[in-house]
Amino acid sequence: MNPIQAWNRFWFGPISALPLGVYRVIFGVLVLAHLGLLTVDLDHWYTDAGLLRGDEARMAAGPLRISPLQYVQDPRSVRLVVALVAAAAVGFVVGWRTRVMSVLLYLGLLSLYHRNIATNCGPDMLMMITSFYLMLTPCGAAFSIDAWRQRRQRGGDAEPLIIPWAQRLLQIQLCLIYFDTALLKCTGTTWTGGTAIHYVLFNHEVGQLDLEWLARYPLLLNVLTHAALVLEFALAFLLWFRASRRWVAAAGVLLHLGIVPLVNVPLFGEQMTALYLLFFTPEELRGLTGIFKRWRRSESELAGMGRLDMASSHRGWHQLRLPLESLNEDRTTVGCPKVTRGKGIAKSTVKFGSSV
Amino acid sequence: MSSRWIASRLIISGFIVFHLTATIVWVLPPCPVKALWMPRFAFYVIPLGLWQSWSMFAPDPVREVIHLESEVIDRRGMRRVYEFPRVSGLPWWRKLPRFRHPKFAANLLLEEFAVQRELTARHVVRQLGIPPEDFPLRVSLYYHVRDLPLPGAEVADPMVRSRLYSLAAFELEDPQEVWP
Repeated sequence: MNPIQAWNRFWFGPISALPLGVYRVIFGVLVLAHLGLLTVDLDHWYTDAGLLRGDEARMAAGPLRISPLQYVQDPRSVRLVVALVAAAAVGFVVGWRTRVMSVLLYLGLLSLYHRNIATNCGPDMLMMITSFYLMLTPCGAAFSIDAWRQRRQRGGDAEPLIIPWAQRLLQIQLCLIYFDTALLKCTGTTWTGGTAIHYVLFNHEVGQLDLEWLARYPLLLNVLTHAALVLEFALAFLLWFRASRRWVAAAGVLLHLGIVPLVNVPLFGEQMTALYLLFFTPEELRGLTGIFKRWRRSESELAGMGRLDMASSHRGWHQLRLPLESLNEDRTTVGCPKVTRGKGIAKSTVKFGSSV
Repeated sequence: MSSRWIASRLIISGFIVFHLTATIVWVLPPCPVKALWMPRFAFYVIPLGLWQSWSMFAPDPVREVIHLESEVIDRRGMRRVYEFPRVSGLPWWRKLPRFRHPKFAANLLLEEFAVQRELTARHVVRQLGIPPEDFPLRVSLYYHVRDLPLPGAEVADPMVRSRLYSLAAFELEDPQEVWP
């Protein structure tokens, strides 16, 4: 495969919309949780009754970070803005006018983000970046009211495909986070020396629960410190491969579960682990849900689930404006499912999830 | 393949290359490439809220606990102390949503938040409700710094004394600076 074909396959080869749809729902719920946490100290951090008043928020933010909340900052207005962002998040979760809601959600989060830059940290940063990427994805193509409406209009119960370039950016972003933090940790002495977690245990300003008793087991702390470092490197690479994906994702979930009682950064681990879903194929996702005995579809149901949505029926979803002719031409190069035309529905019988 | 689709792919590919370059430059450790290119990408990255830094306990976790405090001395020499909110003594369910307070205290150390220090000093004066007739004021921001036990220690020594680290000091002449 030449580099151009590889590029096209990676960024533009159609994949199932289901993982992105699941992720959209979880992300929207996390945004609602984030807004819920904000309300506790909302006046202090985001209104002129708190830390910054008058033009101070603009001074703190600098010329490049613009937010309407630097101008409208009385507590009542700010609460209204937060309520509107929450409403957009609800619309985003249920997938009602998903593209519009994703833009509103991004702008709402950006307004809050730029109003209070001095306390922004990992969870805020990740939410901001993720909402930017989600705005570019057709994340309403599955598990949404929009998709349900489309399905009703066309009939059938098939699974939509999407062009994944923005989803790929999200995947790369996740790997970049793990790689960057692991690389930076290697330049210090405590991570390679196996004592980093010891210091975290005793820092009760950033810690969550009192786990000082773990300091009685320095060997355990040493192993955990090195395991965390190795795992962060592993997560940066091994989520891409089907053979290692499940195992490294499970280890990643354990890593973040371990961080929860140790460090008070709410919603960071939740966001990171939710991003793992974007690496999974629909079959793998169903396998995961089967583990938890929530639901499992039979293989016979799975076999008939492929469908490529017609471009014309997805107004506003530019990524889905993909002429079927071009897909047919591409399928030899990108490895996408065989497509045949039906009455307004192109069906595929090949299993989806051509992720790398 | 339609020419429109080819054009779309080219445009998207261009954006991907640009965006990934900006992102990677942003997260690079300090180096000449970062020094050269970061300011150029700032006009794209910062307004869109895409700046990022993932030094989570890297290169090393902090080896001290800090908490921020402020001292205000008015024109008569009267001294008032303002202690910023601390979360260390709170139960986890109250600590959870207040994670921004220690983050704020730590961020003020960074040079990129130098402007925020003076704004914080003004906030202190407002919180203390100092009347205009007590101006001018001298406001100092400082940290109480307490070393964490070294590896091998099983419990923290409660008798360890904290030391003071002066962050910044400001002369506030005019009450209008504080109550804009």
